[in-house]
Amino acid sequence: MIAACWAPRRLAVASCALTLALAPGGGPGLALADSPRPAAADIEDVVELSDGGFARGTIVEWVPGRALTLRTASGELKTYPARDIRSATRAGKAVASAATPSGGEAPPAALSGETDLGRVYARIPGPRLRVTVGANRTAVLQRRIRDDEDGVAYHLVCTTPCTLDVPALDRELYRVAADHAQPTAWFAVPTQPARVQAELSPLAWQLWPKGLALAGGLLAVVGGGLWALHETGATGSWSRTTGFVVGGTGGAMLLTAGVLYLVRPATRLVVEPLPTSGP
Amino acid sequence: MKKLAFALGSLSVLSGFAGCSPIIGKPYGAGSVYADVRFNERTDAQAAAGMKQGEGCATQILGIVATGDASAAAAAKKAGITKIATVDGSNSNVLGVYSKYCVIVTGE
Repeated sequence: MIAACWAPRRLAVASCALTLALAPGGGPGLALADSPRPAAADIEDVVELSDGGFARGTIVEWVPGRALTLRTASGELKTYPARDIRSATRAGKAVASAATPSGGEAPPAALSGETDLGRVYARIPGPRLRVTVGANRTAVLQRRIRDDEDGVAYHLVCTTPCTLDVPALDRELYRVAADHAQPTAWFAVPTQPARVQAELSPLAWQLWPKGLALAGGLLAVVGGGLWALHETGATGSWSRTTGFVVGGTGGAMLLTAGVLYLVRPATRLVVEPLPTSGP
Repeated sequence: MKKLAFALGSLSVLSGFAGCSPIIGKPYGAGSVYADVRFNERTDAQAAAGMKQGEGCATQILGIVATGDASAAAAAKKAGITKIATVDGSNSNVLGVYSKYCVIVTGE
């Protein structure tokens, strides 16, 4: 009979094992208050956190890449973001994949073989690069499928901030995008572990110059037409006044469109190599 | 005074026409001056990382010309989606002279 005990990793006590041997004659040589191997339902679920802490209880919900909910022995429900989880086991079986370097974040579930993107990544050979992605607002890292005049399609890789292992030989392009914001340009996988930080510009800065230019142009044409009618004598003085007001308004809108276009904040992308441990 | 009133009245009429030109079809997000709205059309499953997403847009200019394909089927086909999880829409409009409606399909 073999009994094993388990201690939390952070404690100095290592895992221990006891081996019992039956005494000659069939009776037990040593009686210990240990129990047979527990059934799966009796094994507590354990969540190990990236800061070294851990929690025990019953995992009630696990949304890959998002969050894990654990019911503790006291009945309290605790929710842990996926980025804070190093590993999790349910009934003795791994649930969430662990981050490999010490202190690193758990890779998102997008890289698992259960998702379409995971299957794509699995087909790409070669090493993986650790990439950390952030933005000035909640955004999504996208992996391009197509982008042409007919529309755009992409894989949802992860929600920022996130850290993931990207195939170094992945030839497809990525970008960071968010609702109501101008996405970044498509960029290739960095050649070394890197931190990608996106500064996304509000979409309003792209829309207003366009709208003002179109409206201003329309009003300028209408105003000019009314003014021209007056000059030809086809209409009365009202045409000149109306043309002046309408054309002036159009001109002001065109000017405003130009100013907004020049001063608009552009979406930026900064890629910084991550420090690597030396030999 | 009458001329100025007539001029301002003409401008108001033009603005009113401008409010009619956004791509019609959605009761929300049709602000006549400015709109930038995203909304959900349909949810069959939860969207999650690793899924594919396709977008299709239709654009309208000056209430005169409107082009594009904003159908969910086309957006799903672009991304190779065979099992749709969610269908979202987005509507943007500036002064009624430029508006854009997009459909975003998420799935596997």
